[in-house]
Amino acid sequence: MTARPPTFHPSSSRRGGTLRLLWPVLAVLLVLGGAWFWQAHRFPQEGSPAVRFARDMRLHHGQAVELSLHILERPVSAPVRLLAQDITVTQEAQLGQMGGWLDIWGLPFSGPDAPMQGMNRAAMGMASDADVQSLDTLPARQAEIRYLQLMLRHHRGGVQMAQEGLKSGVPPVVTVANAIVVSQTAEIDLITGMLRERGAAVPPANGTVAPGSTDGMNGMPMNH
Amino acid sequence: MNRALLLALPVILASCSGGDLTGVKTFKYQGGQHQEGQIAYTEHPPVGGTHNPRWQKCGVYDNPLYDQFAVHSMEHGAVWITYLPSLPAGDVAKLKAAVDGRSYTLLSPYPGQAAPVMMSAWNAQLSLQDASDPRVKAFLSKYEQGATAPERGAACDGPYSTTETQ
Repeated sequence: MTARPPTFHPSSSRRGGTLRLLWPVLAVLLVLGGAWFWQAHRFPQEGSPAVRFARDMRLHHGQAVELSLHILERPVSAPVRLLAQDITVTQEAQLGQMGGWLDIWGLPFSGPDAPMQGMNRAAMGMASDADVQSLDTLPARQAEIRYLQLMLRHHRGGVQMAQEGLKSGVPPVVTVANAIVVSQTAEIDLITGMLRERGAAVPPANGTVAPGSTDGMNGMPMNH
Repeated sequence: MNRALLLALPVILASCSGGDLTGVKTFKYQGGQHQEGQIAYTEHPPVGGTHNPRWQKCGVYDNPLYDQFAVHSMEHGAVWITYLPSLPAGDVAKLKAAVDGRSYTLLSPYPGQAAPVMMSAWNAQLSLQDASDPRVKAFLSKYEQGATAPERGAACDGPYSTTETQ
């Protein structure tokens, strides 16, 4: 190989000039693209609506499963048994999904505060310990009615919470929140019908009933 | 590379945000084994191992619990906070406040344990001198339904609970 003298290209210096002009533009595009990518691929952070929704709804779903497991221990009618089994498997699966999000987002299941912190739990349909125990102690037929009443209120609260989740702007959260709104709204109609068939009171949609009322729904402390 | 960093970032951030957790001892129990009757444990309170088929319903107890039921709850992700029966009532109240509203916690006295307050989760334990230690919250944040529990997220309530006391 013999070295050849460099050849002069009159256009090359001009092309270099154009490139020099383009560098700042490219840099700006790179920064903008990077910012867009970061925003689009960023996981929800501690304290965000999506993270709060996942933790709050896991607690709420957990209680629906708990109530259902209690009633499944009792000799209840076939339609109530089927409903309780359906609620158990559905909400347990959704609980797992929400735990999966937290895992992928690199956040603990439980977080620094108790779930539903600062919310009015009773207004969101959460049953009291006494309500849960009553499913074990009431005669089976009454326990079945109590379960339906508790679950009706629980679903109403669940739908309300899920409607908040719809605003989170995080795709998987919105999908599951929407599924909860749809399925629990349908189940509210189903449960209302089951209560009417049994000649039992349908708790009013505005929350709790006064203690000692004939429909067996005890009022609950409004402060948690 | 960039993407790997992006994916790792939340994990790094999460591990930094949990607060100080110095003093936590870790263990290597595998989950799963069920056995009826009394079970002898190496640690007091225990932090894993063979346990009763039933799990202790999560909540606050004023009497000691049987180890073998509580261990099953820990397998499901419960944190068991225990205190010496001599702990002043004011300190017990602080512990009750710490677990208020949390659904995967057990709180009970534990006679003869090595520290005034102890926090146990599956394969992790922390001894504390003081109920107001900020590590109470940090431990709950990391270990309540934490990654060390073999069956985290499985119920800690339901009808299959025992409230037997020693």
